Amino acid sequence: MARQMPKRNLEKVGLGVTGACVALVTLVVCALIFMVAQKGLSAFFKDGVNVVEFFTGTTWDLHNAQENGMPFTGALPLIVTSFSVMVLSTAIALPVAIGSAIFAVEIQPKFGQKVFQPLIELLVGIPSVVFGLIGFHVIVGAMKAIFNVPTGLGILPGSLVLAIMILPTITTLAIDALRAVPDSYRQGSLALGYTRWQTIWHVVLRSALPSLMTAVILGMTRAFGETLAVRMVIGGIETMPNGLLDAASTITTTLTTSMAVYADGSVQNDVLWSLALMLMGMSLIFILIIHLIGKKGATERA
Amino acid sequence: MTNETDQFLDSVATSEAGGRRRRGRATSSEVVLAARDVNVYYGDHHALHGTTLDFHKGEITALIGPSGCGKSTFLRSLNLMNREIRGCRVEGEIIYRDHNINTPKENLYELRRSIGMVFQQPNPFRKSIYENIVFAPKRHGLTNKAELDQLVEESLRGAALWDEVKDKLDKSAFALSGGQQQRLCIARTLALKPDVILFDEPCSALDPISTLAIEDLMNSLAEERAIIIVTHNMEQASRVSNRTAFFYMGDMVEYGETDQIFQRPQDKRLNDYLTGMFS
Amino acid sequence: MPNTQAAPVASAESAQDAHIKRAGMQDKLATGVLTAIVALVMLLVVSMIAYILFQGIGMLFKPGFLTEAARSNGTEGGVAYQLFDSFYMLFLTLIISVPISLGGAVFLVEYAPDGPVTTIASTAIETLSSLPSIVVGMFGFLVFSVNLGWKYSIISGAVALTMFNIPILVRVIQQALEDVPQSQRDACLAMGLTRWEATIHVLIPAAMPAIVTGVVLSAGRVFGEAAALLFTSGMSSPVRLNFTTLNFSSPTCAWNVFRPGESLAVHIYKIYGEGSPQAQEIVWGTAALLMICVLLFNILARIVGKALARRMTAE
Repeated sequence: MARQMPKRNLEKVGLGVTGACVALVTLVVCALIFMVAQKGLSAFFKDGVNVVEFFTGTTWDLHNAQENGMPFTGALPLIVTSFSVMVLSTAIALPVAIGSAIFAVEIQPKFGQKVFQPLIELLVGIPSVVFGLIGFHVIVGAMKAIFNVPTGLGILPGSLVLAIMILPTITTLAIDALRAVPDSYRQGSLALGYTRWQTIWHVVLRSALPSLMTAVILGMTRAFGETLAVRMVIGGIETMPNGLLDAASTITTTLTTSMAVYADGSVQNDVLWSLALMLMGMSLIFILIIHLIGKKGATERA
Repeated sequence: MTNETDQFLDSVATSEAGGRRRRGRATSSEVVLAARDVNVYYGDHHALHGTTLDFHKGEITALIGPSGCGKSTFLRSLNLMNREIRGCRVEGEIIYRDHNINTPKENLYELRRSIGMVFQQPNPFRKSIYENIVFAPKRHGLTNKAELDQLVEESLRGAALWDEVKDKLDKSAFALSGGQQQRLCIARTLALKPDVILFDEPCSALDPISTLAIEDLMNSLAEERAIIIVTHNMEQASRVSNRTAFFYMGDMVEYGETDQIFQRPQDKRLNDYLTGMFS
Repeated sequence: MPNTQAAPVASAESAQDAHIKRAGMQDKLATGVLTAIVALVMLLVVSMIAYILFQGIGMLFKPGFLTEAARSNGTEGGVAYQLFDSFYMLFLTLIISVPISLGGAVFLVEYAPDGPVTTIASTAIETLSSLPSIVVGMFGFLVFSVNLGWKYSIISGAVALTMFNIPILVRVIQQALEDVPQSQRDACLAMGLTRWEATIHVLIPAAMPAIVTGVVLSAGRVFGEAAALLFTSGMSSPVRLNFTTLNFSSPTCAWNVFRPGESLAVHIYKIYGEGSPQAQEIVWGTAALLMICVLLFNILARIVGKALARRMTAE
């Protein structure tokens, strides 16, 4: 007979060990949120950066000082660019993703599961720098040739690259959403004499709508936070973009280029943390929206 | 095969008369397990209302009633398995060997060795037949190889499975048929030497022949233990049990000798249930 | 009179016919469009992968590319150190993130009581998963590189990658554990075993194929991540690395986790804009190498998962 720990204690050990893992992760996330918030807010409260100017100013220049000795911290161009690439890329990816998902679930389910889904999941695995590299060589080149512009960098190529990157995210989630629609809905509609397309359009898509919206929001989250692939094709000029093919810079790409330049604690560094705070805030808002959709779906079902 | 089929037809024929098997066994008045005013709640839902019942050594007690009547809920209270369900609360006393086990201090782990449970679906582990049986005893501290070997043989014999599997103890339990898997699950429970075994619709996933094998087994297991079985199958209840309790909408409506319950039901609801007015 | 009555009926019928016809046409058209979309997407995926491999595969066979160190800030030489650093950081990341994720997932599936604790924990993990990796990188930079004084180092990078990887892994393992039938859990508990024993001896072994697949797939994601590494592991590897020394504090010791390191993905980002044909060759070679590694992770995940599942059912 080997000495064994009493079961009650063993269970406490299990609870303790696994609980510690969860506590650690939760603690780190809380620390992250707290530190980003603290750093980001100190630009306004400690360094005296004007909040209104930050959100509405159109000049972003950390190198040069204004008359009052502060750098130019108008983040509106970055905000506008970030939202533009997010909206545009989602608009491009959405019809393709939903269309592919419909095909893979409703029209050729076997092919969808065996061939199309593994292939599209391969896209998730492709590193973002590789997307950026292809964008930099192929898409930017194409822009130059098609629109006859000098650089070909800007919001449009950025959105195209992002659209390809978020395509698998939206597609796989949309496939799951459509698969979750019970077959009886389809059979009921077909039995009433509706065509397959009418069934998909009026019955399947409608009942999968909350999950599809969640899929789109998750795609937008990824598009908003993506960094390097966009950085490689957008040009990196922090001015208000004049068009879709004008070099610009998003919140994330500005962070990539400037973060390591300014010393910790400087105004410039703090204001970059304000940008990070904005990114984090957007993530939290997206999560909130997803939860609201989920809750609404749950109450409707009940 | 024909032999087994004959046996099956034979027992179906005699089941109407009731309790051919159980009559051979000496029952006792020794109460092993008793419920005193047991109430079960799932959140706000009051699933079982004040139930009081005694379970005797050497007897098989059947719990019957329509789906959702609280019989399985009651069964799962007896070994405190309901504690594993979130939001489930059990009130009242459950007396095992003269002390109330429904207290926070009760050592669940020791208790469940004494009150074994067999489930609706055969649920062996993805391990060998041997490992399936020694898994729990090992975790409870038995490590001597010779003792374990002996325990395996004893338990499998007890579950009437030894002859079928003695040459393939190292084979996966998943290679066995459904009926054999269920008997393995019984053997696994026997290895802990329980006083009471709870059966939660043990035959609902099995064919008629395997069902009869399990019923025979229950009969022999009841020699030294109290057996409690939840079943949907009225024939089964009348074939194997000494006493029967009828549950309806969370109430224990009627309890008595099995023959009395099936032949002279007192309560109208029980009568309706037996005559197939609802199920 | 009968004629005038029949006329509207006939026209209604023909209207209905037209409607049915239109619906049929719509159906065909929609099917056609959807087929075209899917064909386009598949063409896009295949041609992208083919393009990268085509552009870079030649470089992989060039002597020295896989075995030599980078020279002239990466624009000449090979990518041996980047390859090593990528795998080394991946290894460290998995060493840290797998146990934590496993523990976290077990807590959430097996122990978590309903209530605020569980809600807060799962919201925290969800938040982490949706944070842009650049923010995770900046946090890593601030805490590990600056505050803890680890500077640009392999370990800072690995910890940042861990934060990036944990939410992915927790979700995968949670799913794998939830997919194990409840009856297996019940069987253990009904024999007087603890949830801990049930988890260690029954549930995790049963979930193993799915867990392994998930871990390997996540490894592919970690392997290609760059944004979280820019400010944590840095953008350069030492000029010379010594693989044989066990002096772990030496800045040239390959195994020293406090030396800076550069992953393949970061390497691509660093030199993609360099104009020289040599540098371009290296960029594409690195991209092809990265792609092949990621594809291998993908294939490996499927093969290992299937093999484990088969072994489990065959026993």
